[in-house]
Amino acid sequence: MTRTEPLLAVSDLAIHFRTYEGRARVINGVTLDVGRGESVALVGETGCGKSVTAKAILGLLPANAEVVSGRIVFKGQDLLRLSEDELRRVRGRQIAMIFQDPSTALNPVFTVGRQLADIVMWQGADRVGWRRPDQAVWRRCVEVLRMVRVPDPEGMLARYPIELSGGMRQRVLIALALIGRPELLIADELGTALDVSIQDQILLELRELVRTEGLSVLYITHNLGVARLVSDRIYVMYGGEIAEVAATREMFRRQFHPYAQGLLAAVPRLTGTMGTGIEGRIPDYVAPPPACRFAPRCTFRMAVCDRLRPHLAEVEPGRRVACHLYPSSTVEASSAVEA
Amino acid sequence: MAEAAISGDLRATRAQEWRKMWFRFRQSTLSVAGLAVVGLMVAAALLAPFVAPYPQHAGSFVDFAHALQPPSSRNLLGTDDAGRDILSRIIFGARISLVLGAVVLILAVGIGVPLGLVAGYWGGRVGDVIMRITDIFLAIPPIALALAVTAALRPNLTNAMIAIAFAWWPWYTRLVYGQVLSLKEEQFVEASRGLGAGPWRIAFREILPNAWSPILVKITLDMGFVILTASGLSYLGFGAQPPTPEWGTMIAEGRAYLPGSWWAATFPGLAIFIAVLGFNLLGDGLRDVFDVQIEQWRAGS
Repeated sequence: MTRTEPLLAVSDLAIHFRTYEGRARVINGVTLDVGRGESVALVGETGCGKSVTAKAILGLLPANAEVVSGRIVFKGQDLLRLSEDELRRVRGRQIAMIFQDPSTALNPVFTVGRQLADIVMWQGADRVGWRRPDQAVWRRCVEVLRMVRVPDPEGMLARYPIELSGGMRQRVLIALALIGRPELLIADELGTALDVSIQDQILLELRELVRTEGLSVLYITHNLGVARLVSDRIYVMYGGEIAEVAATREMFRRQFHPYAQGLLAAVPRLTGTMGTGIEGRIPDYVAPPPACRFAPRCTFRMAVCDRLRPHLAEVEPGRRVACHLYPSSTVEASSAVEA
Repeated sequence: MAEAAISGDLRATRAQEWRKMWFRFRQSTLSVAGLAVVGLMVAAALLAPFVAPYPQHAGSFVDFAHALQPPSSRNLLGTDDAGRDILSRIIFGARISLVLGAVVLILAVGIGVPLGLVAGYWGGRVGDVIMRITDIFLAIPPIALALAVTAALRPNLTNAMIAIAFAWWPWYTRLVYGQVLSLKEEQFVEASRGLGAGPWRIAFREILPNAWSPILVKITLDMGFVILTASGLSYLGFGAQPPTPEWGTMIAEGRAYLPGSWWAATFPGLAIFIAVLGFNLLGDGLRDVFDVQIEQWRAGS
């Protein structure tokens, strides 16, 4: 890396799940970084391991998951080496997650104010306390609600989640993530559960907020339209591996990896027909394809694709692709095998 | 500020919510009847010295001249073998039954709920041990278990309460355990974990408050059954001792004079019957109200 140290650097992350069918190699060497003040989108179809990657960063993996290798370095420290107690102090205060489903991610029995104040007072603490929030706490809650453009923030404090619309709940969820003043936000399928018009509005507002506050964001999405709207760079993920990385504008201009091409072709356009879609299904993680995981669905499949796993190699400045159609990918892969 | 900041129309909405709940409760005449019975019982207990025709008859009062008088205008429900007014004793008995029910359930909830929460949220070895012990307790009928405990201790009212609570907590552990197992998979639990909440906070401040409504319904239903169990113990001589005006004790005392002086045992028995029925109807009514609320939330409204 010639650039300055990124805020978050995930390298060679591999996560396996113990399942009834056997060992599922779900995340297979993911490398990804988010710079300070940068918005990055992780794009891929359902089941490709986007959310698992996001949960791994926060240490929220389910019990049957096992991190086999890799590092998740955030501000110089490897999050995978932290204890649960230490991780708890990172969550919310340094890295916060915006959860995807506004109808279930809020606790139904507490008012919005109570839930915000709880985080202000007890984030990272391991005690169970009954301290009442004071004026300063309420002021902070109102301030954050104002940041996410909730109308009448004072009145919002006394409302229960059930009294709010989906869009309002999503704003409150963003406020919950922001209130601990984190440096990195992880937005998991933000707005997917909302109307498209409200989704766009919230995404644009968040983009604005992220820029003015100088935050870094990792967007997890299956929607390329969302990625285009909010991100500076895009990682296209397939079958637990990164297929292609490029600056957002470059990615939309031209895609190198056949999967990325298919993904863009699948987006319906106003100009004409529905998208074409990609034949086949995501790979079986218990017995994945031997080398390139996309090979069985790929229209450009070659002999080498079943023999050698393509390496994520730079094909243009700032753009890396893992596909044997590009010689540097093959060259790096074979030198890695020899070494 | 936040609580004070509730604006006028929001307060009106909340008040309307309460009215809506009350409306839903009123839909069933039986629920209202249950509430009336419980209300009457509470009032009788609170005002016993003022409403009982012969307050002095509650204790060890003796008037053999008027022993075993049938119901009349002087003694509405008749008198017992010591000449005491049965109505007065039933009214004072409501005090004992309510206090007893409350103490037993506070103990049972206090032990059972935290255990269920720990077993459900942390699970693992500790959870298994807790739940297997619970299963052992559940396998024994509560009255048998309570009998064994009071037999081991000295038979009096306090020990009867301890014994019943001892037999009762596993039901709460079971109930809370089940609730927690489903609640801990909810997204808001993961969300609060993702925002830095510790396990104790999640268990007691995120999950438990969501489990309260079934617990509350069960408490109401159990009030009746605890009173019944306690009366059973007293009847068998392992609970309150004479001359305490406990309903079960009164039945035991009146039993010797059946069927001739039927009123001495029948009216305390009716009091138990009505109290248990009242709490059951109230509990059912509360469940109707809470269930609708939960369904509304689950449906995402």
